[in-house]
Amino acid sequence: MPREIVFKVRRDGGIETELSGFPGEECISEAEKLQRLLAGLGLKLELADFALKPPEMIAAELGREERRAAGRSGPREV
Amino acid sequence: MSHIAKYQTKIVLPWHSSAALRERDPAWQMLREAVELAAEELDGRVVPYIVDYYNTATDCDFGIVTPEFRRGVGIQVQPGTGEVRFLYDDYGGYKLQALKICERIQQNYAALALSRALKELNYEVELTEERDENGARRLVLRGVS
Repeated sequence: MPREIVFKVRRDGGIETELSGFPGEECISEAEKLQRLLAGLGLKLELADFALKPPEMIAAELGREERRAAGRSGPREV
Repeated sequence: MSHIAKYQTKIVLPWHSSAALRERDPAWQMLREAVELAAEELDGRVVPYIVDYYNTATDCDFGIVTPEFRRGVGIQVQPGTGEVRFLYDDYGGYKLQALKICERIQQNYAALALSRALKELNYEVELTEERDENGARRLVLRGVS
C-alpha cells in the first residue's frame, strides 16, 4: 500500500491531515519530520486534535488497496 | 498505523536584520509568493504601504489593496521574533473585507509550505480545490510516495 498524506487547508490557514499506509508507528515520526520541516519554512503548527485511525478504517483502506491492486475499483456486476 | 490530526497554524519567519538576507530567505520568498497569489486571486495588487481612515500611510513589509478594501491590509514581520502580523484599519464596517485578505494569505502560505515540505520528503504532490460546508475555499494537498 502506498504511503499517503492528505492535507486540507481551511480558509483560516488551519490544517486537517490524514496519514495512511504507514506501518507501525511510522506515521507519527513522519508527521514529526514534516512538522520540523514546516517550522523551518516559517509555518508553526499547533496540534488541536489527534486520533489514531480505528482498526476497521485501516482494514477498509487495506481492502480498497487490495481491490485496486487486483484491477478492480469497486463492486461490479457479474 | 495511521492517524488523523488537526492543527492551528502561525507564520513565523526566520528574522534577518539585513534586507538583502530577507530577500534571499526561502520563507520570505514564500510569503511574497503567497501575498502575490492572494492579490491576484482577489483582483488586487501588492503595495509597500497601507492607509487608514484618515488616509495616513503606514509602511509594511508587504501590503495588499483590493477593490473591496482600498485602505489595504499590511503584513509586518516583527523584528527579532519573525512573527507575522496583519495590520489594517477596518473602521466603518470593513472587518470582513480585511479578514478575507488576511485569511487568503494564511491559506496560500500554508499550502505553499506544505507542498514544499512534502516534496522535500520525496512525495508526489497534487493540489486541488474544494468547498467546505460553508462554501469557503479549501485547498487539498495529496502527497503519495
